[in-house]
Amino acid sequence: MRVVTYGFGMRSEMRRLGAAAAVVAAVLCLGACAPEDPGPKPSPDPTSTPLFASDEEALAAAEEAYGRYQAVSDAILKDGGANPERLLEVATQDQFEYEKNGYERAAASKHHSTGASTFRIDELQGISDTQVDVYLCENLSAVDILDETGTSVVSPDRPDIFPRVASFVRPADDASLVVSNIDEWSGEDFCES
Amino acid sequence: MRIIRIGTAAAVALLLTGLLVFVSVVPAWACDSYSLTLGEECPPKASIVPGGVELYDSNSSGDGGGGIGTPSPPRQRPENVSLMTPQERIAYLAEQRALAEAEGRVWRDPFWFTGVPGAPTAPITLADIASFRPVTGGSGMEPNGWMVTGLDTNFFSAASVHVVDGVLLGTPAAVRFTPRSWLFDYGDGASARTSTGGASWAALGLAEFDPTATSHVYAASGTFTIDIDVEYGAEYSLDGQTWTAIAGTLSVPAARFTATAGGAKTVLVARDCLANPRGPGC
Repeated sequence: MRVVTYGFGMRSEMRRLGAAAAVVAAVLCLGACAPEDPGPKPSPDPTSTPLFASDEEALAAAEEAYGRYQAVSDAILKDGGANPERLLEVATQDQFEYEKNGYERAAASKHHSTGASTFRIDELQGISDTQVDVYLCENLSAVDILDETGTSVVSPDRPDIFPRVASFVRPADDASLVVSNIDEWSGEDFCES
Repeated sequence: MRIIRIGTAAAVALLLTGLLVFVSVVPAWACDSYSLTLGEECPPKASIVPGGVELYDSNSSGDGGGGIGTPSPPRQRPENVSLMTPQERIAYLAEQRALAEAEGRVWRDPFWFTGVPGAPTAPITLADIASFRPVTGGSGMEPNGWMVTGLDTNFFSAASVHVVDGVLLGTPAAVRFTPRSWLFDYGDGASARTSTGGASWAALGLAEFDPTATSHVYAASGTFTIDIDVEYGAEYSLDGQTWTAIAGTLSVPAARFTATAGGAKTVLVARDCLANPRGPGC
């Protein structure tokens, strides 16, 4: 049994590649693969329960969580990078550490933002028992970064809308989702349409 | 529900029946909110390889990677090397290199110098402008992630002349980077140094699998790692003064692709060419 799949994209695409591999395997196997040893099949972990019962629930929770994240992140940048630890209310320590670098740079450069960023969830990428991943379109068209003199320091080439893949985890039972990772999506721009 | 935007992968899989191996290593990009809002180019963060092994940043390679079931080490995010002082940078890179070696990963410094940095009389050398990070622009390969043996695979890099602002010797300064040459290491023992970064087939007005200045024909099947490096010449300008050339060139990794070559026995297209005009064979 030979399986070929190719993909491009990101870390979080592994899951979809896996799914694609399964589909491709099924397609390629329609003919003659049956007699071959299928190999050991991983059995589902009996203790694992999905984070959400339905895709709709997961999407709604992710949308809410990203909204909170964006609001806090906007507020920190609006304040010139002050009190970045606010982000820990809406993000994991790991994600906070990553963002902190930017906030510190903003503070060192005496830059602050104006305007609010918006987003729309494009599609659910996946749900596991620990994580929700979604495609979303971040819209920065109303956001500017100004220096001390009030001059914009944003690159004139900056796009307004960014396709991203955001991951969410639940820090504790019954807690709201928080952002655990954000990748820029380098594949097909699903925000264009 | 979970099979989304995999049309190309499925098409390619169907196209290349009879091939072994799946490999995909494409850098993942991540921006912090500040960098994203500024419109900065952000560094690659992680790559994927088969078997669930995560690689950390573009400087890693899968050579020492583990197999299926290898637990992922904790996420490590690249520091912003360009913001460090030279001393910090050297220490950071040494630390990363040691860490990578301890974990069996291969480490390449984000920058390395070729040529002789700085004539004796020149006050500024390449080492002085280490904090000015050239951007390498986009790069690509066609077909994306795979090759057909005996046919041309097109690689390209959009690196171009650009100016990076920063501080040099405590003075606002700008460094202008000009691509002098591109080094394509095709991973099968062949390499090329070109004076052009090449372009996509579409941009060149060519058909798929046409030869280009930067394309390469793989003779044998296999999985190959392709590296594109850009050699930049650099000039600096202090406080808006005239441009002064800096001796030597700066070699910057622009892209790494890992892709599989195989023979195409049967050409199948997952969707028809009307629905997917960019699909293989359309």
